Amino acid sequence: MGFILDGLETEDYDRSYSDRDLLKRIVGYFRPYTRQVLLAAAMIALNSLAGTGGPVIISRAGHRPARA
Amino acid sequence: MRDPAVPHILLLATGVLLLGVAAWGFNFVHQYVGARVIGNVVLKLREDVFDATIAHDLSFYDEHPSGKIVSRVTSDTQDFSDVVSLTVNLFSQILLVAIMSLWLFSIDWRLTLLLYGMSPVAVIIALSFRRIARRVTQNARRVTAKINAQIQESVSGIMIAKSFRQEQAIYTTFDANNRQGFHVGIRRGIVLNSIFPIISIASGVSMGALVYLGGLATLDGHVSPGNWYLFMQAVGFFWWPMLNIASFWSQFQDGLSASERVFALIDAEPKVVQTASEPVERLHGEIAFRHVRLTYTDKEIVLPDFSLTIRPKETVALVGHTGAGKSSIARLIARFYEFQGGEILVDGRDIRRLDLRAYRQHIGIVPQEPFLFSGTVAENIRYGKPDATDDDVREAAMHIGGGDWLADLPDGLDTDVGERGANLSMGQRQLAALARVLLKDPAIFILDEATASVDPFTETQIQEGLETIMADRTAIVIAHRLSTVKHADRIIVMREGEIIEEGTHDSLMAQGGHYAELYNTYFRHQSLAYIENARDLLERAVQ
Repeated sequence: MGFILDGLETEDYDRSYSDRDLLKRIVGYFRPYTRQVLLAAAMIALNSLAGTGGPVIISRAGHRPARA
Repeated sequence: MRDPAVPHILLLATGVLLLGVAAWGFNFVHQYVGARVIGNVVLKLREDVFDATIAHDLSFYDEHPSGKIVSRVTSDTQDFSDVVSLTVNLFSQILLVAIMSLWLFSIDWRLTLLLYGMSPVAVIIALSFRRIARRVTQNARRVTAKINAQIQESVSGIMIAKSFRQEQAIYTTFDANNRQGFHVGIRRGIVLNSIFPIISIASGVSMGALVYLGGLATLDGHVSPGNWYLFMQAVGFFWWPMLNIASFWSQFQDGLSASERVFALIDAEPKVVQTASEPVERLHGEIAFRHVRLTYTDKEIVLPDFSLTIRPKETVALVGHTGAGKSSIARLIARFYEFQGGEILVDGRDIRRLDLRAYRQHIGIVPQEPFLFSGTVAENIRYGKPDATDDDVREAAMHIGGGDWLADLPDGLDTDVGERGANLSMGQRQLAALARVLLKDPAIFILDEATASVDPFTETQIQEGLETIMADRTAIVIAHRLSTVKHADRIIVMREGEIIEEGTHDSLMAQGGHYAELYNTYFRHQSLAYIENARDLLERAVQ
């Protein structure tokens, strides 16, 4: 098992970052594209609504009172 | 008679169709915009990491294999985009969970609260994978970098490998690394892919509990059978995105591992640090070392206490055995390495306070093995002065050895030099490198003379080129040629980082010290007198 990790040491300049710091930095790269990101987010939201709308509609229609 | 439910069914079908088309449209826009944003972000990140990489000093490149650095700039930045894709996917999953929650609440709020009570289990399981997921993904990246570094080195040294018939050896090394990559990749896959089944088990237990408790609630009359049935149908739509969210965090670690490696390279602190950024106008070329101490590691002291003053336009030849510290002095002048004590003054100014880019504009360097970039001879000559005209380039080339060397090139200045100048001979590379320096017209010229021999005609051209360059500027030469040493204004003899003798060739020979010994070892066989003497001896032996 030792062989698996042979030679895989960190470089001397490697450092550990918290997930929070990494995410903060990553978000910084997206800041110039805030409008596009919001547009994509809106499309995702609308896509989700449209995607879930079908089962909801079908489910609601299936619970209409039966024909007398 | 037509069934009155038919129009409703048609309306339902039309509504579902329109929703499907709309979903397709929204998804297309999302994918298009998302791809462009991610592309731009990865572009910027690569620019930042490459910018940081080339800003590092030479000691950084001595200590870290270039293949591993390349892996971070290329592979890890590309994998960074996976972080973003996962994040976008997460957002859509959260929305789905929110929408499903509203629907479930609308069916029965008690059962929905019960469902929420069981959801954290999946989250806890996923979060517990975080540390191991980060570790296995980091190892996977390191092994990729290791493989890239070994491949790069093998390809660069393929001529040496073939000349020593070591192809099998380098293949064996590659095979071992490749197998290591395989095993590490398997571990990574097992860890990341085991998250989903484990969370699925938790969701299955939760579903069972809902069926049981929901059934009891129905028997007690708290929930109608219809609602209970509808709820169980809907909960499946809730769990799928919930599972994705729960497993997301651990898979996200792969992308964070890539980000961590990239940011570490960007944040790596350079060892050569300027304390100011003073502008540098034309230099006179006076260089003064005052009690300079240089160590590469704690145990390797290269220059313990070095002092030397070089006058403007003086040609100084540094001689000594390997490891004497000659190259280190040249590198310190170029500010490629940081020294730990003393000071270096250029025209009386502390070298640490100068604007480094402006300072290096006044330095011209020709290393032992001149490096040419892919492109033409003209492009390489123009490298140090991009705004030079074609006439300037031609003039610089003509001033080196009379320009005769251009006639030997298949397309003259337009000759393609190949990768690292592989299409040119060593002598031609040296001549091109000298023309490059001459065009730059630096105040300080640093030459690490090649030890490889060239034909006598090329040797003459190189010597003429050197004389042209050294005529009107300060020159520091790590000398391996007798002619260079003899023409120097001053010879500095070094041993173990200290100056042990200095003077002209004749004065040092008269002293009969270390220089005289070096002369007999390295230089005497280059002298005309030696060659003629050897020829006489040979002729007598034949007779």
